[in-house]
Amino acid sequence: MITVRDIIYINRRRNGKKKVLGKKKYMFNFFAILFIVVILTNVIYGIYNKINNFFIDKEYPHKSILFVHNYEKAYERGYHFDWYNTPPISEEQLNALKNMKGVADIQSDFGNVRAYTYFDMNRVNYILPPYYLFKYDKEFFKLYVELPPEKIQRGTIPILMSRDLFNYRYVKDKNIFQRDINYKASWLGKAFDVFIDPNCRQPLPSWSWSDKDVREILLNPETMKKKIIDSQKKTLIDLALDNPANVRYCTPISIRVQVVGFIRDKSISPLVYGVIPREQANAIDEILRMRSNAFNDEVTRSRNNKLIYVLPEPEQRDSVIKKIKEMKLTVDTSETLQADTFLMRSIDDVGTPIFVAILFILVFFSFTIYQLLSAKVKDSIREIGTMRCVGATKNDVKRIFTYLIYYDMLKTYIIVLIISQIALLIAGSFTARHLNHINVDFLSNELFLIASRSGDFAIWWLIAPLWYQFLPLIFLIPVTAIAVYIPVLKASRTDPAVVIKE
Amino acid sequence: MLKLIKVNVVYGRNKKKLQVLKDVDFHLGEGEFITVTGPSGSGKTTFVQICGGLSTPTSGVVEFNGQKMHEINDDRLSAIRNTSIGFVFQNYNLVEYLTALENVELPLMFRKIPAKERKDSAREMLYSLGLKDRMGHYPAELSGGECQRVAIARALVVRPRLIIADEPTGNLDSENSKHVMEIIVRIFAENRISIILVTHNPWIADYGTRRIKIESGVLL
Repeated sequence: MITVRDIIYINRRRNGKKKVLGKKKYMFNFFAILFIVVILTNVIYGIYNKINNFFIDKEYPHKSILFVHNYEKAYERGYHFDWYNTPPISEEQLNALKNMKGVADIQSDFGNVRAYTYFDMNRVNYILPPYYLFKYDKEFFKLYVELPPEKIQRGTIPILMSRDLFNYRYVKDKNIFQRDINYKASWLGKAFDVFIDPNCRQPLPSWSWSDKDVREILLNPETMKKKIIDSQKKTLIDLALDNPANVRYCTPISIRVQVVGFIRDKSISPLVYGVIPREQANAIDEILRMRSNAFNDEVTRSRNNKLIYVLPEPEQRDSVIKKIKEMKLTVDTSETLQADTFLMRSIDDVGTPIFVAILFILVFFSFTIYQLLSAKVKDSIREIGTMRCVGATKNDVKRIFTYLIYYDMLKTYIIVLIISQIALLIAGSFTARHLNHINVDFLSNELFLIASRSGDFAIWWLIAPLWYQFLPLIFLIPVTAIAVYIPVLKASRTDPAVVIKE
Repeated sequence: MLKLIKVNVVYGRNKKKLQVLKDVDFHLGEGEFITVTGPSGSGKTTFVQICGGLSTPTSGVVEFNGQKMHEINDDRLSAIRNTSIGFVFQNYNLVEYLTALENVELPLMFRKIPAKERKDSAREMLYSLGLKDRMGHYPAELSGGECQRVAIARALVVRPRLIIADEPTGNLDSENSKHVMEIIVRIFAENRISIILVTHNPWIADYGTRRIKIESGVLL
């Protein structure tokens, strides 16, 4: 039997000669198939994410869920200038937070304003930074973080971002985040300074800005801009380390944060925001006051603009329900969300969409590859016959051809991988120009994420997970194994007499 | 060394049935050089296929070195082809992407002979056939005569006991044909290898120590 070394040798020689066996023709077909597979896998990934994201928003893991349905849709009423103060965090609450799984320590020195969002109808100029300096431990990262710990930059405050923030677009030249509902981008891994927009005409009523500061902005924006830029050189952590006393009085004009992961419309950092009517905000504020451990509560909006108030710990449940009813809202105390998750579960019944994709690729491409390989074997019949004549066994032929086919596949795959990624980026670059005019719901988000890669954001952070690019390879190994079997079997059964007949 | 006893070869079935060889009895002794002649379609090629173990007869017995071919498995048959029989074909059947040297090495690869050893053997064989300067050339870069000499070298490199040549000069001009035949005769003379050579050409048929003729599948 021929040695593996000789098999490799023969195939290297075969691949070294251009004319042999219509190699170009087959390589092109392989290339075409693989190219489609890689692109298809990207699209499948996008669709899968799309489906997943759609249902995941409604899929709360909490056992006791209290839903508050808002009859008056916030959107219909337009955006509001809306903000609310939460009550100061008590010592007990602080301790409870510290004991929260995954949180190593919390410093509450940065003020007691819990959350703040400012809208001026069309754009968001300003998102306040987290007010509590969270020190996350490893457990936290295990729980929530999507970004690998080694990618987390030192000196940044790791934050989890709500998926709703996808609608905010980073405007590079202005260095602000601007709302753009047609824009979707991944912020994962992005580190940025959260700061007050120096061009903002209406100064923000910050709890720590002095009147002097406000006047200065109004009278002399350029000076303030310089001040902000100077302050950006230091992170909040640096400021705190320089002199902890400063923190209380100094405005955290700029802090360096890094998005380390996403959560389902909630944030463990107290970066709560919302577009809700003022009376609802006030009511929620009251509910928060009623609850001793309100920090774990979540206020969020569902896809159809229903306001959802989630009580992970249903203490004072009755009082809360009463209050909600006073707000003329309906209460849904169902513990599971079967209706909402029905489709997702039905997909789970057959595995996952990825599994379906695998099946598709297996069936469709194994047939195509089978045809190609059959043709290839047919073309190689004389060569096989010659080998059989000079002493190759059936197993030798099988081994030679199996190696040849896998070698071709892997080589082509690497070429395809490189070219397809470049092609996607070029396509992304092209579509990025038109991004604001395209409804992102039209196609998979991922395609537009790819498009956005060549835009404002660093390409590599926004690119689909690298491991995903290797999925086609994982699929193609069994696909090829299936497709290769019959042609190789046919090849091995080639009658050596064929060389005389032909 | 080689015996064919009552060998029949039938292609097709029922009305399309075609008997290519009819009750062929044949014996090839050690060191015999047999030339086979006959008109086209007479069954010469089928005869050599059967002799070389490339095909199996419909009925009858083929014995090679006392072993009945139909009783041995395919791997063993491959091993016999690899070690005891050398083939030379009209259209050379060289592997296009291998050089002359590599083509000659090919049978030794299937015998797991170490690279250095088989290269030396192949080189020696090509030297002896006057292809010293053509070792690194691909078949497409060689003339018909040179290709055939490479094919002969490939057949000889395994030190066979039998060489089966199916119209080895069929694609060559008279000068090259003569040269190739001289080589075959030389091999026969030097090594006393048994040879079965199929030809249309009467003057080539004269090279053999015994001459047989096939007509309509019958050995005359």
